[in-house]
Amino acid sequence: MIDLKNLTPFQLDALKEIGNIGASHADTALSELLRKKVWISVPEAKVVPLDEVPQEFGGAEKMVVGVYLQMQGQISGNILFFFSQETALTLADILMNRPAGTTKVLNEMDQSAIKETGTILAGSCLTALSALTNKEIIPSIPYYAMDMLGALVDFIIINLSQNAEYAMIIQLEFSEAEYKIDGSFLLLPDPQSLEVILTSLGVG
Amino acid sequence: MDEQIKVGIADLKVSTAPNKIITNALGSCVAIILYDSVHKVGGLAHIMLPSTAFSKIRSNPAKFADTAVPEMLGMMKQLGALKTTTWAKIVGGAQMFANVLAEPLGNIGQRNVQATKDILSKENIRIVAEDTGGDCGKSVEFNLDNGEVTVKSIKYGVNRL
Repeated sequence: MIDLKNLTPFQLDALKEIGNIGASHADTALSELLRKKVWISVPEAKVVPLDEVPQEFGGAEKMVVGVYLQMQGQISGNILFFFSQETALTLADILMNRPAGTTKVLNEMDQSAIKETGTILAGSCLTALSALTNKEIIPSIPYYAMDMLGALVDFIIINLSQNAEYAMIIQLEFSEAEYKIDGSFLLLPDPQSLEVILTSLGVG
Repeated sequence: MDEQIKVGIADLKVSTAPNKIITNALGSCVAIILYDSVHKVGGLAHIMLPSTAFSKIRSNPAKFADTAVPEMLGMMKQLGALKTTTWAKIVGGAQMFANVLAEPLGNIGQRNVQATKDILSKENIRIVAEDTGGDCGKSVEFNLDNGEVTVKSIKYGVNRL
């Protein structure tokens, strides 16, 4: 099993490149979906101790809306797309063609639309990952929740903790200026799959 | 002066009155609270997994229900607690994303709760209250003065155990 603590800068760069290509796909997909110019930050690839994952993204108690998907197939892992409640309300306004500021509570339709956004984002990143590694990856259906970040991520941490003390996270931050929406997109491959990814990128 | 002691994920702390022990944002994890109401000594563990059988990395007793309970009882004993006057309260073990299929560990929240009940029963510790299961995150404040446990969640507000 790969030791996450000993990933070389070269390997982290290769992982960041997945983020870069994923970001360019996601950028286009999200801009089309929202009919707004969405900016995606330069991706980061980082190794974080499992118990520090919530702190790394704003703290365990931060209230967020999250969409979770599982990666299955030749590469497995977790995808979490999350943002503030304000962003979620604005996203719902845009997706449902309502004037900004209309949505006060997310109904089931809004939640479905937000889940779909997660699926589209995940799909574009996984297409990039799949093309780069030449491996088949299937995303699960999306799951929606609104709660404290720490509570949303703890089962992901639990899953990873069976085989590792650290998580390798590819992180994309996205934002849109006019409506002031922003959020985070995290890709957390399982430790076994990280090895598969690095090997197929030729840096294993 | 009373002190507020924070417990992180896969972490445990013991203390005495009038201190408070808190832990935040439990999802599928479980907070195991032990309290000797006579000696006013207590502990809180924020466990991640049912037992050491679930992980290759086993060095931290606070990570597992089956090791956290004996560890906490030992530490509480050093502060003057007796097992015969110690009871338990448990919080957490939710499934945050309802019906996530193909979760490698099944409903891990439920399994954590069950493992916690099993080890407490093995240690002859009575569970006097619980706020477990469901689909929402919970934060916990444990008052070592009187054993009161305050559970906060966005769905249900404040629940006192």
